[in-house]
Amino acid sequence: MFARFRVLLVAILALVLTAGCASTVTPTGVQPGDTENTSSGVVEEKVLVIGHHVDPVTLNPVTNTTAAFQSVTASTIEQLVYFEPEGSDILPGLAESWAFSDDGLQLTMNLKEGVIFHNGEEFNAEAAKFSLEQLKASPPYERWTQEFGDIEVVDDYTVVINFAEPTGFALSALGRGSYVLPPAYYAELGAEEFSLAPVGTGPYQFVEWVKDDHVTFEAFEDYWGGPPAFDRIVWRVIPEDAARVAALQVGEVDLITNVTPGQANTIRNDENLRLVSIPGVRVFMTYVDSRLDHPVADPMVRRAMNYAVDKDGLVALFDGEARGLDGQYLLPGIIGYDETLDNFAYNPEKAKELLAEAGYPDGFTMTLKYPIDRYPLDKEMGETVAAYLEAVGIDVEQVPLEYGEFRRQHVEEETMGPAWMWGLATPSDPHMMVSLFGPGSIYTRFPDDQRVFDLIDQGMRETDTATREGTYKELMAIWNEEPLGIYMIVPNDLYGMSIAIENFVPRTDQVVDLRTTTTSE
Amino acid sequence: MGSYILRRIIQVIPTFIGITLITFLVLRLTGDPAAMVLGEMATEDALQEYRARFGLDAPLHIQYLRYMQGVVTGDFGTSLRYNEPVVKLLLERLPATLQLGGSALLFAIALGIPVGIFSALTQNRSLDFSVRALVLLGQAIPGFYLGILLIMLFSVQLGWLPTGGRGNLSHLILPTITLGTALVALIVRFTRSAILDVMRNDYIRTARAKGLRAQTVLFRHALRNAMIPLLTIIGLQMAVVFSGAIVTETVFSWPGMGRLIIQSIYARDFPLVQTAVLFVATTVILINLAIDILYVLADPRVRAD
Amino acid sequence: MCWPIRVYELTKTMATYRASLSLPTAAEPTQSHTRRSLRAFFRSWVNWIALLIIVIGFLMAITPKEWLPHDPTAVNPALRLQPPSLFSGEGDFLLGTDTLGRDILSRSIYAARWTYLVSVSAVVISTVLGTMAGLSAGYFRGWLDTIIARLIDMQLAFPIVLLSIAVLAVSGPSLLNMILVLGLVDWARYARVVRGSALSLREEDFVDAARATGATSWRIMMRHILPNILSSIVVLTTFSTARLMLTESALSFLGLGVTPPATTWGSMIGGGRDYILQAWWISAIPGTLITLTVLAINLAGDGLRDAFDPRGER
Repeated sequence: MFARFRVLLVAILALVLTAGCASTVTPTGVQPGDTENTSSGVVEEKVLVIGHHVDPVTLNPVTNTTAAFQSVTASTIEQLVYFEPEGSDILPGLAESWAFSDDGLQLTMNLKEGVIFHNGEEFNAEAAKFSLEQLKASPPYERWTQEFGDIEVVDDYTVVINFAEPTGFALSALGRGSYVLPPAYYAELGAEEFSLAPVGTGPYQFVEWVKDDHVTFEAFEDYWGGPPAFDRIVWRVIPEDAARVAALQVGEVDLITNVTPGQANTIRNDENLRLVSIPGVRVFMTYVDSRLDHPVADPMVRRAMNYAVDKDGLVALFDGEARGLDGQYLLPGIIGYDETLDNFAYNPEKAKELLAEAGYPDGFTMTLKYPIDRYPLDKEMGETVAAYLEAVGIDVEQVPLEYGEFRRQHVEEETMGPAWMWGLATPSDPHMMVSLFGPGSIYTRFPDDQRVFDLIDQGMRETDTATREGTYKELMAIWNEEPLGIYMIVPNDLYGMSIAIENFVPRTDQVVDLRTTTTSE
Repeated sequence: MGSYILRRIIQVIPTFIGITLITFLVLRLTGDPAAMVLGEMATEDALQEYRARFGLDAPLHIQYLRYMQGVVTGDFGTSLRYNEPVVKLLLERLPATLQLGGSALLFAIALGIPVGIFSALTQNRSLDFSVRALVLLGQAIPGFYLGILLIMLFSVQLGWLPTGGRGNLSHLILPTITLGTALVALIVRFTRSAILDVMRNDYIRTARAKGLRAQTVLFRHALRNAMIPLLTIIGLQMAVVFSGAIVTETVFSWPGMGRLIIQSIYARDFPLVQTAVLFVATTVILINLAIDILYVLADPRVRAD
Repeated sequence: MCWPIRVYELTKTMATYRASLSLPTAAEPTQSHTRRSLRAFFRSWVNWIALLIIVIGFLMAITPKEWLPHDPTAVNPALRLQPPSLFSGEGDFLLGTDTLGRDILSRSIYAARWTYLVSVSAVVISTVLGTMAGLSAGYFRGWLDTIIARLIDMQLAFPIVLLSIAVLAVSGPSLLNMILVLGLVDWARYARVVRGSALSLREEDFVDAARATGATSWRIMMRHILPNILSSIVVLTTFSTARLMLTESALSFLGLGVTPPATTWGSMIGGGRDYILQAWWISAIPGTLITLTVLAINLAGDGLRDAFDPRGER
């Protein structure tokens, strides 16, 4: 018996050791020591290691809208046009210039010449057409590409997009998802296989992906923008927030994504590290279903709820790394934002008055659902909002839910109840933001309102900035008078990095674009 | 006896069917993969289209029959999230989990058995209590907390070990301690109990009476006899190892099955979760089956009427 | 190694296996045995300390909310992350405040009631359920045993996360639901152990004797078999209480914890997880409490087992 036990022990030991040895082969590149421990005679290799908070489930950016997945390939697969890093203007990418036709039904794009894909394919109008067709066919982008019609090749470097209706936000839609894919390679592999070995035109080409562990890229010497700054880029997956900061502190990684408010000070106080912050786009609100037979159906009650919640208190939860909403869904800097609207500055007395005026002097009972363990401080935000509402007499029953269950209840509208808190992230375009609340949308939880739907439709068709602005301001005024819910806050996105990392440009859309990033080492 | 064992093996079949059925129903009850895979911005149409494409809108019994048909023919389906065969995804992660689980078990055994013996030999003296308290302390700290504390101490403060990831042996040390600690207490407790028990048995007394040295008695007889129940107990802890692996793998960025399974549950990746549960269940059921059969072999009275 | 020896050895070792689960050998327990065991239990100072910790926790649990230094549920972002005045000497909060500005000391005491309520109720449910199932399966055998044994197999193999989400989906988060989930998760452990010993106890002479005098099955199970396994159930119970306290914190991540403003030590640790570096006290204080309690309960369990073990030399 004992002999057998010994055999078992040896077997386990062997398994542990061999598995350990086998795995040393793959991630050697992951060790950041590479940059420092260069022995004489060996050329120093510049490696950028990123500690990322999630493992991508796909490296094909056009089949999903998750910025955290798309970040990994953002320096590999480029876009025709880009959103500016902070704001809502559109900047050239592989399309150098563009122009709308007078009727707004055609968009002509002039493409960059002399760009090749990592596999040698040439980038031209055919490739652009192919890429746009993939975008058009992708279900997650359907909301924004419904008006896209045929795509025509005019000459080798000119492509035209036809629209069913004039679409003022078309460029924003392209800024979000105009990924440039190699036609022959993509067609041969299909969307799924492509995800395992992506090819693009960016400065870094794909090397390997060990799932849940790391993704490696290396410099693409024929990049149109000149030789890349790093020889290799390694995305390491570190899901635990504290472990990610620890890895940055000890120099195992050079840059980390998704620094949580609780970890930010650790990075701020470390002289070898830098905290980079950028306003985000995830708009946190407490939404209400005003179609229900419930006090929240009364706009006056909803205004009262807005006065009851201290936006500054919520910002304080994030150590100031957030901004409050100004009584409207749109953010400052976005067309249609109106600074003259009532921003519902914290005023519990006024909230109580309004509640009494609406016929609820003793408040009422309300369930509040919110997802937990999904966004930084989600549970804390829910608890704080509940506490503020309790303070003006509304009896809140809190229902924290696992995110998948939260989504299920949200999709099955009838189970959601009168109020729920969460954050939606849309590109910084007024139409893309407000069209979530169009007719038939799962986010439209108010009685059908033709004024609102008409304004949303009107805004989409307008291509002139001034008229667009007027339209959206009108819409914001309606939603200020009859709030969609409680306008809360937009947290900033935080990145931590070694002070040696230079020219890192954080983006509002949460995509980590490393094409311009360099190092001082 | 042979017929009992055969019957016992046949009885495993309804257990399997029960597990597939429960997993299947529970999953369908709890979420919508379309909403999770397509993201927040998906339109109602896109969601419907997706459900239709993957047969998620079919009546439940049809979906179940399709699934069982696949299981029987060895086709466990394609992950909704990764768009890859689920078996491939699970097998990719299996070595990492086996390595971590194996080394944690080894650590727990290497530490737990000697401490258990020591504790039994010094029964009820303060030394016994201090050792046991220390071991129990390790078990009483929540896994993620212990993991982060270890990283803070050994990686950030002392700089001895990497913070996470799978690489050479140094990467294995902290996750092993984190996962193994939960098992050590158990092994200490059972070793102590088994040794105390065996030491009182007649044949040990006989051996002692024959004048064998205490050490010989301990290692030749007592320990040897304690091994089987210990292995049984350890075997029964496989489910614990799996659930502990979820936490440990997350804290230490260890690319194993635990993380894959928990992420798949969160993402409502039906085919992947179904297969993973079936896999873990098979492991647990087979171990239980083996124990039941050992019981019968050991004590024939238990068997038939 | 020839076959008969192996069977002999197996017999020996399986006996040890059952003993290691602290199942006593068959013998009718007597009152004096129980009294003697309890005396043995209280002879050890370690057991006294363990009991003391448990009792302090219990006292915390029954402390009325009004007696606490601060309102444990009052949110005030302006007072967030205050360090403990116990160490810094500044501020009104002896053990500091959490991410929402709530007093950690008051909250820790307030959380004790939920922590105890949840784990104790869940243990009661799983003990009763598991013991009844295991007893009936082991005693009656036949089809009942087959069904229960299959259920045990399934339960042991089914991931708790999935079960929790299922309950969450079907009936929403509530204190009762979480207690039910925890109880359902654990019943199989008891059932397995109890069934095993009931299987062999029913063959013992004293059971045959009872049967011969015309005792009903219920009476035999309750009067003759149950007392024999009671001590091992008690021991399992203490270990379960400890384990469930930890499991509860994991469930609160799934939304199945007690719903705010109620809280437990486990969810307090979870809430401070992100702030371990910046504000260690948020998680360290409930962490210490839960660790001490789990330790105490485990030591008490060990002590009880040693004391009740009829083979123990004392």
